Amino acid sequence: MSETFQCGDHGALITYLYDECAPDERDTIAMHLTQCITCADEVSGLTSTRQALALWAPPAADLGLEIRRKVQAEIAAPGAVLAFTRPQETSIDRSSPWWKAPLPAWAQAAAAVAIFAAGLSIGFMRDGWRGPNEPQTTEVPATVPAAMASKADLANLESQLRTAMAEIPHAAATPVGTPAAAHSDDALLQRVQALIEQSEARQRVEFTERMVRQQGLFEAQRRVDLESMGTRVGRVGDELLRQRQASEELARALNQKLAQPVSQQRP
Amino acid sequence: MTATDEELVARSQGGDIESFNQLIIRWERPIYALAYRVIGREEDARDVCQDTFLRAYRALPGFKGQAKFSSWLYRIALNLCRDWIRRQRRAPVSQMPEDVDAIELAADTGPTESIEDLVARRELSAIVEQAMTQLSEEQRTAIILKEYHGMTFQEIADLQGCPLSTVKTRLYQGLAQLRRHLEQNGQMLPELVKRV
Repeated sequence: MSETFQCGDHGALITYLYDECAPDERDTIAMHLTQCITCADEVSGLTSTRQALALWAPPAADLGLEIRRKVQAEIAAPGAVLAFTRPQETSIDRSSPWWKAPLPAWAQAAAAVAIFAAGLSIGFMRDGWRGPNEPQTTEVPATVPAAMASKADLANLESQLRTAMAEIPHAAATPVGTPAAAHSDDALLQRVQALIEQSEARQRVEFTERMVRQQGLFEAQRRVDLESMGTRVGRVGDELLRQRQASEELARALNQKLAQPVSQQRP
Repeated sequence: MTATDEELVARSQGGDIESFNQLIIRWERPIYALAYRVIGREEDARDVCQDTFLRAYRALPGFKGQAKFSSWLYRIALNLCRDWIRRQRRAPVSQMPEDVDAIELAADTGPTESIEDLVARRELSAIVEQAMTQLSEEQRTAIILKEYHGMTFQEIADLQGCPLSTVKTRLYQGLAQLRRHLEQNGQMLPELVKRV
């Protein structure tokens, strides 16, 4: 803050011009401007320049829809959504041992495929290859939908596995079918069944979440579209009104010009 | 009640897409106007505006709220403008219409504005736009942030990463150069301004 103002202090002039100086400094500069023509002219010229700047407007652009669509497309991309949810999803409770932690979906799928392949192998070992016309041990209705068929396949797989595991000791003719081994197999099967059920439940939840997310996106887009339509309708209305006013003004000007020679011809 | 930027940012960080959409609606025009005035090309300004929001969205999980959301957004936009100018390696060129469409002009008139006044306003706007291209990037940006976005000297200094005194110097020199340019080009600036 300065008690006096020196000519050529451009920084102080700018703070005065934009009214960002302290009140006493503003008074000091205002007082100086009443006495110094050079500085007064400077401030006057800069003020006019600022007034001219105020008239510079960027061209109107219908941005919103385009930008929001692209950003929403980015948001809808799986990677982008994960960027927000990943920290919560990947938080692992290190206090529990790793074998108690839930398996990831890919591991569950791999386990299911491995068990399915093992079941098929055991089936072949037991029964040999059956031709396509021979009856199947478990019938699956041909008309079930894909999702149901998958579930039926899993149930079929489970029953096959149970049958195969129960028959293994007899087929191999080895005395390994002790109660402890059977108990271990049952536990394994229960574990596999639990994994499959967990996977199904998780897929159901993910599907529901995806549907809710899509619904939200759809709703947001609908709002954006409605807003844009409203804006455009309003703009067209404004434009029509302006055109009408301009036409009326032109008509008035024309009438005045047409009326002028007639009045001059009169005596 | 309208949600604040901070509230919308917090909700967006929680995965609420609609809140980020609200932020776009709120800030897209100022950001576009900033980009257009800095780089002077309509299409590129659109791209910069779009990239600004995309980058902001990607970086949103890391936004801790130390600065205002708008300042953060302006910083992203200015960085993108700077990158654009570096890529172009030339002074920004404004896309000015060569001819004036009477119907378009009529559609642009205000309720109490005559066509003559409108033509004068358009002319002056074009002159100012042309004059702005003569300034350095730093001067132009400082003037744009001050005149059209109402920032304080301190906010501009933070965005431009320079001392307060430098901002004042840039503003003064930029305005003085603009004034000289307008006067040297035979434009009766005060009369034009008064008339408009």
